[in-house]
Amino acid sequence: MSSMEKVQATMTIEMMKKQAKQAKRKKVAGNIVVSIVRWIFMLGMCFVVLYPLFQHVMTSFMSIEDKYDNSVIFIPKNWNFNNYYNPNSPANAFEGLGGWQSFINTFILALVCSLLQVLCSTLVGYGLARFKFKLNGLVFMFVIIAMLLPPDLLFASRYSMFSKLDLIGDSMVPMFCFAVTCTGLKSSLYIFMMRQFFKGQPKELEEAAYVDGAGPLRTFWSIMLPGAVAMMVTVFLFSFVWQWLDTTYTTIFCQNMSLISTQYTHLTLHGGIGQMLAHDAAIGSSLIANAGMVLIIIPLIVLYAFGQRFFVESISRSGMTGM
Amino acid sequence: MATQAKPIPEFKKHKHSLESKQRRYGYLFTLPFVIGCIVFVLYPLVEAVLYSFSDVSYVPGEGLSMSNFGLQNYQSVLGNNQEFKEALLSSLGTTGKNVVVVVVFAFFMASVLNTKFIGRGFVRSIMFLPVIISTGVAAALMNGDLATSSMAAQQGFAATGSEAAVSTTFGTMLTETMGLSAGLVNFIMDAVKDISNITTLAAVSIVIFLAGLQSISGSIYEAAYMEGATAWETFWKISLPMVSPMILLSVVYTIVDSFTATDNAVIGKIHNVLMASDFAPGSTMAVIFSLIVLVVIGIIFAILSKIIFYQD
Repeated sequence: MSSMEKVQATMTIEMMKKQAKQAKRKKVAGNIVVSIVRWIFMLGMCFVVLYPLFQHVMTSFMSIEDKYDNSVIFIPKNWNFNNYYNPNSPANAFEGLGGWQSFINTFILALVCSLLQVLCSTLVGYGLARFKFKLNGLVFMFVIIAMLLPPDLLFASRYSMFSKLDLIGDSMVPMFCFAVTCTGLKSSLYIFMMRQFFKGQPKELEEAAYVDGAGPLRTFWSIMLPGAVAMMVTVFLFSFVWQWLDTTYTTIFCQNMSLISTQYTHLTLHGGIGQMLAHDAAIGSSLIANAGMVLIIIPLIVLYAFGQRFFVESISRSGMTGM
Repeated sequence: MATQAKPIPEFKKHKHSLESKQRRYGYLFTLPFVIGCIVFVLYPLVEAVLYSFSDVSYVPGEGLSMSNFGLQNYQSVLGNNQEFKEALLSSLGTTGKNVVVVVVFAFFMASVLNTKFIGRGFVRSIMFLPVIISTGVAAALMNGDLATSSMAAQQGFAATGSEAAVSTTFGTMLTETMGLSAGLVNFIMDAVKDISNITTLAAVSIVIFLAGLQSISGSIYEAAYMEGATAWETFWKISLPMVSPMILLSVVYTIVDSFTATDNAVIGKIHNVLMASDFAPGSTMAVIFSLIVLVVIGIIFAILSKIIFYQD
């Protein structure tokens, strides 16, 4: 009997081992299926996003003859880099956008505005998320109201305010003022993002810091900020991209400055130069406009590729502090 | 007696000072926005509301002058302006439909992008592209571009026939053989056909959700794994509640974005009227529209704040 029991025991152990192996194999197979499905899905999504962009990029390298050639669909036959830059004619994308001056100005404007916005929206978001004061609800309501008001509605008064100070047209000061007070382009969204983020963070760390005698400023600076880097980078990326491409604010408050957003309409104007037929001119300027679009978005893509690295870094750091 | 009574006022005093400290720091942290709100939002808003209640005329050298206060603008906009009302209804309809699809899709995309796979960074960068392409200068240069629109037309002829055939066959298959309700199938089919538009609308939400998912600490998942939770349970009990503040954000943003986008029928109308310096009717439309959007968002807040999980 005892030997029978032993045999039975070994048999059940064998069976269990076999089952575990099978389960493992099943799991591995499942993982492979999941990753294949995910890959197909991701390829599809990338196609949806990239296809229109691909058309524009390819068009930006075409010459006018290619557009009349029915055999040319995506790949140009006569590669034409003159759409981007052409020293012999003003009809090119780089000069149409205002050259280096315009890119540098736009960069400064976007960088300063987005840094100010990240800083201030983090402060305000933290204040709204963590401190109890009477007007908290009201202030937050106005964040939402500022978000949903059509910007056109506020422009008349803002314009007259700054024109009294003689700061309209060729000064970035109005834009900086809006950024630092979180009332500029989509600022409310950034405050809202930071508030929601801090509300989702555990309170224990802060309470521990308070018990240890740290004040709210110190707690914010050395406990909460390191964990918020991922969110701050997100806000910065949004802010920079939208400021770089913005036309609603800049065309009103910086209309006389050389910025991408004030110059890009020139892209399509130069097409008529030379002895061309009207339709040729229209196509030519359209090709240049495509090249201009590529020039405008390249810096943003580079920026995002860098910013993304920050994402990952901040997680590992916040993981270490136990958040 | 005196020794017993002593600690109580001290305790009260301490509590009071903590509260006042909280209040002080609350105002300190929100100060930038409070100032900005008063100067750049409230003051212009009050002016705009005043315009909406009066007849505005431009006096050269002095600026705008108001006269004849009353409700006449509201009567004319709400009473006679059929165009405005139609634009309002249509934008409410499209927004309602978009929000559900966009938020669900964005959350799904973010969850997938948050898993580990080869080329993740590349795909993440690509999913950010719609944010760039759909705004300002880039959108202006892309839309109505002559060279690429002729390209799209060329391929369009070839594609539409087979695509329509496939989608109708697939649709009837789902409704008839699997017994799904026709309304649901149509809703999903429309969403799938509209995928490029939805990806554009969802791009911001995807990034927001991704940042939210990333800020959940790995140790929570580890603990759940040790306790034997399945992926399904982990999703419902950890990921979803921890990201729920971001869901509120995403829903509100999607609504506001859809209402304030430049291609929104009402916003376009308001923009045209205001840029033509018709301040009184323009402000009136904007005030009415903003009030409606505010009510919609208020309802959303009331519903969602019951579901959302905050850490306090």
